[in-house]
Amino acid sequence: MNELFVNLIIFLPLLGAVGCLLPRDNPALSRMIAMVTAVVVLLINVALAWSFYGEAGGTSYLPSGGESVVRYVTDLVWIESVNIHYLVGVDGLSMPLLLLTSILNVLIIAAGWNVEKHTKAFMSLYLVLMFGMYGVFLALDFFLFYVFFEVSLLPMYFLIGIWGGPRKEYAAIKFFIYTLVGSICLLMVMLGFYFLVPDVATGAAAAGGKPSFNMIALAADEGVQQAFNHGGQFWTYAKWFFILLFISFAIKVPAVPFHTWLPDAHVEAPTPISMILAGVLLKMGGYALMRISYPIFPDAAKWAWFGVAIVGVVSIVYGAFCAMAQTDWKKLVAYSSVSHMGYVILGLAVLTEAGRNGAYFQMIGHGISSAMMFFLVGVVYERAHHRDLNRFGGLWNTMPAYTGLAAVGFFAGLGLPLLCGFPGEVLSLMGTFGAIEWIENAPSWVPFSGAGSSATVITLGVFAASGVILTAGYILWMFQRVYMGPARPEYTYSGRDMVNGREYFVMAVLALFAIILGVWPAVVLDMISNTFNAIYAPFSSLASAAGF
Amino acid sequence: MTIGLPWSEVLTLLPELCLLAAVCVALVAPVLPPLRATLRASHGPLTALAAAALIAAVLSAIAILAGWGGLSVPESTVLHGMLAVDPFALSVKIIICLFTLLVIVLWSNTTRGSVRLADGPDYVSLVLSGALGMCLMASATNFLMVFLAIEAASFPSYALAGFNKQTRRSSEASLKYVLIGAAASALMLYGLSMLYGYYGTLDLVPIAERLAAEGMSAGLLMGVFGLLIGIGFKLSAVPIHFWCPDVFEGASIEITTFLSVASKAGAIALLVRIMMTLGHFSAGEEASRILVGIGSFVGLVGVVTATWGNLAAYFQTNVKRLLAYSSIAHAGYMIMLAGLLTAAMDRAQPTAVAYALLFYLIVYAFMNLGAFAVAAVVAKETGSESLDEFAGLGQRNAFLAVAMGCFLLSLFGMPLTGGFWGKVRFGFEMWDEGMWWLVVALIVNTVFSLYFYLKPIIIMVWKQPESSRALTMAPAMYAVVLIALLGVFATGLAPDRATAWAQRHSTMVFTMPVVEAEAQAGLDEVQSSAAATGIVSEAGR
Repeated sequence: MNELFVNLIIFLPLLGAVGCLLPRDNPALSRMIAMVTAVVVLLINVALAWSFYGEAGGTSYLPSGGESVVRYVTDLVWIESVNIHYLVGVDGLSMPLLLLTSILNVLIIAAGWNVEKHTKAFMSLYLVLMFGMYGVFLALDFFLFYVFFEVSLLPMYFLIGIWGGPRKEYAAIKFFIYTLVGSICLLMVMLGFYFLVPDVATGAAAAGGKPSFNMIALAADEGVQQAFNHGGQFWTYAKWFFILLFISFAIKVPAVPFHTWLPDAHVEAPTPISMILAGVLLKMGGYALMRISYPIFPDAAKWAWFGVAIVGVVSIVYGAFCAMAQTDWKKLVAYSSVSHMGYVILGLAVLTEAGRNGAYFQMIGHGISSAMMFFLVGVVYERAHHRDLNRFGGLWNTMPAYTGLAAVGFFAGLGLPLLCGFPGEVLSLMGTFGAIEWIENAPSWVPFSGAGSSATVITLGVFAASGVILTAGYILWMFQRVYMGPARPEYTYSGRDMVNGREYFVMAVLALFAIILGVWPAVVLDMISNTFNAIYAPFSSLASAAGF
Repeated sequence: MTIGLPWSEVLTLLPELCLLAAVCVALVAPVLPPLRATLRASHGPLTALAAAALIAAVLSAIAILAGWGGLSVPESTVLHGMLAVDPFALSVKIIICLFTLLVIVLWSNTTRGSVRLADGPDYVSLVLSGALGMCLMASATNFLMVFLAIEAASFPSYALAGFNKQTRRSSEASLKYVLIGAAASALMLYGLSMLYGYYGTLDLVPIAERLAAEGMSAGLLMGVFGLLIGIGFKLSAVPIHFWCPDVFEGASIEITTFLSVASKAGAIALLVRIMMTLGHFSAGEEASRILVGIGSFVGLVGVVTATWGNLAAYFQTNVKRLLAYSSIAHAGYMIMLAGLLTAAMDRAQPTAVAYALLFYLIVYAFMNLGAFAVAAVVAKETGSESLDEFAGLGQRNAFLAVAMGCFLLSLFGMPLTGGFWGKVRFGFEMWDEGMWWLVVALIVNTVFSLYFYLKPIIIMVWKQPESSRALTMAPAMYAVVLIALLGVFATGLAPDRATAWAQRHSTMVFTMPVVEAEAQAGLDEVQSSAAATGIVSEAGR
């Protein structure tokens, strides 16, 4: 039953997309079909999470017959000549992101209820995007993952490009080209897998000597690890692949210096699309790092820790400064995404358990808070028709209920304790300081290891922590400029222009989740802990040394 | 040597004979008084004749492959070493004839009106004799035959390019085509005469053997150079590609479609056969050094061609010119892979390369057919071939717009479409041979090509059309576009069937008797050295 659910999650949206196209000249029906699809998928996800939460142990599905934490697996041979499988399943790494995606999908279709231009095409493309997103989070075969990664790219291109703002075409093509460069890096790694995997792994991972793209088996197989660590003396295959994958996923996250597509895309995209872009699509990058890069290339990950950590810290600080400099409200929120996703990169880079948990939680928390922030901006933009921060003021007086919810959203983004932005940041920073111990005792090929390495780590940590203050700075300053001050007549709305029930519903649900996740972060952390212990086993010795 | 016609060998040329018979009928029928009036009344009977001949050719090729009715694939070359009728040649012929059939359908539903009824017989006989020449190119194993086949394919093409006598562009294109073609033919003939003078034969096999025994020679160099010019002309390889955009723009759209796939399929098959034979009969260090040199040169020509095609396509505003440059780029990819054939010899897996090419040809036929079919419908309905006519196609005919998007993305190489697998197969083979620079060139070129394949899509979606009248099309055109769409996705979503077919039919007459023993030897060798060198070959899998 649960196996069927997993496949339904992937293919129901596709069915819905076709359904949306069928009714002629009936946008209302298309909307309903999209909403029903999203709600059904949400219910399926909840049911899946329910049994996932309740069950212990996993289904054995490794070709070698070993146990793994992955459950509800469907494994079909798709393309026999290159041994590509349709392999999907759920583990702790995917379950919270699936829930996040399905909740956001319902809210975003609600947020997009007033899209009048080509409604049919909008809903249909959105459902195709949904298909791609669920596929990315459920695929366990590298090739299948790649396909879904690409599938999510095309609808996004059209959604930005058709329904976007004045410079939509520029933004859409920039988004497309950046992401495509990332895809080509992925493709090169795939070529490498094709030739290297059957090489050494004759038995376990590669059944019958065929190449294997099974991501779980690749991470678990020792022969594969040996194959990847061949190559040059210093430049092993693993390092090349790690770097290529990192570029690909860092574009998606996005991390500085690959981030420049993001502000353009966000500013031009319509509100619902900004929400899904920040809420879920960016997480695909972080998820892919956790699912592919770190488990499959543990040695390269240790070697690269410093480089990756620098990218994370620079993203945090640079993103925050950029956000502070903006006068366009939406651009400010967009840069805040760059800054917040930096914690994900940093938390992963330091290879401690707290860091990993923080990175993961930050993805979920940011998924809620950024989607909410974009919606909050969108609600005002639809009425004021501009986003210039310096022209706003006094919204607290004219729209009190809206401002109350806005406070929750923006303070969640700020990282206030008891809201969803806080646990991720703090765990990620704790993990960074906790990394001192393993790095001091690490072998010499790990950069900045040995005695005296604590200064390096502490410097990184201090810079990263300064991001928290910078974030508080730009968010409070923005809040002050927009919401405080005397009431202004041009921002006083009445009648049809009042914030309506649909918008309150979206904001309230997001605010509710922001509070739940902030008060009870364990709901996410419990789900992922088993999986992290299993697939990050190569790092577990490091983690225990760090004391978390 | 006695000249006689062994019937069993002649029967293996049944596909060509079907086409030849139809050409004769089309030429003779108009002068017979009872038929004359019928032919003057409509194009219908001639279209039916062409379709029947092409279907008969395809069926007879399938019959030979499957061994129906006492036919069989001959074990050696036929007609005194002139032609090879092997699975590779037959499958290329099937591709060419099926494609020509669809081109005829395309013609009868879009541009047929522009051909005068009195010219109908000429037109049909030219198309069929062009297809005949292309089929012969896939089979030729003697350089005299190579020359004849290339000319047999070229002359009808020259006439077809200028068939629209009323338009200046068409005549100009035709003249340009003839002049460049004549120069290429002359150079090729000169090179071949050098080969004959040096080796005393024009048979491919003895020349390959002499090359292995004697090594490099001036005659060989000149000969190969001339040959590459001749084949490169048909493939529109840089720097003899200049005819291609002009001819594609000037010729009527179905002729452009025909030239872009059928003609190139024949030429690439010929190139593959020559390279493979040269490599197959050559052994020894000296010979393999020469062959790697030739292979690298061919690969380089491919890289330059692909890059040139992709970059020049950026500035095109005419859909046919855009697709012309795209076809130059794709010819470049195929030439790159053909270069691998001689470089691959010592690795014992040339058939894997041939099979990648065959698979690519199948995919390429589908996606180019689709793109040109959509372009033909739009051109017919709007009366112009400018890219601007695609403006707002999404609103005017959503099916056409979506289909065109799929074809363009497949040409680019998007996953889930056949074009992706075609390119990935190429990448696999190149990496397997250790030709890193070809892999890099392929990837860089693919990135380059993104922009101009997106350009029509951008126009279709974002530009406002001048008129919002819905575009209509004949049911047969729906069928053609649907067939192409199915082909693109069938090879993209479940490529196993097509790759298996291509793999089964990638054997050639020279490799047939030895291929099994060799593959087995290769397999053993690979398995024993797997731990040491770390490559499990395609044959091994």
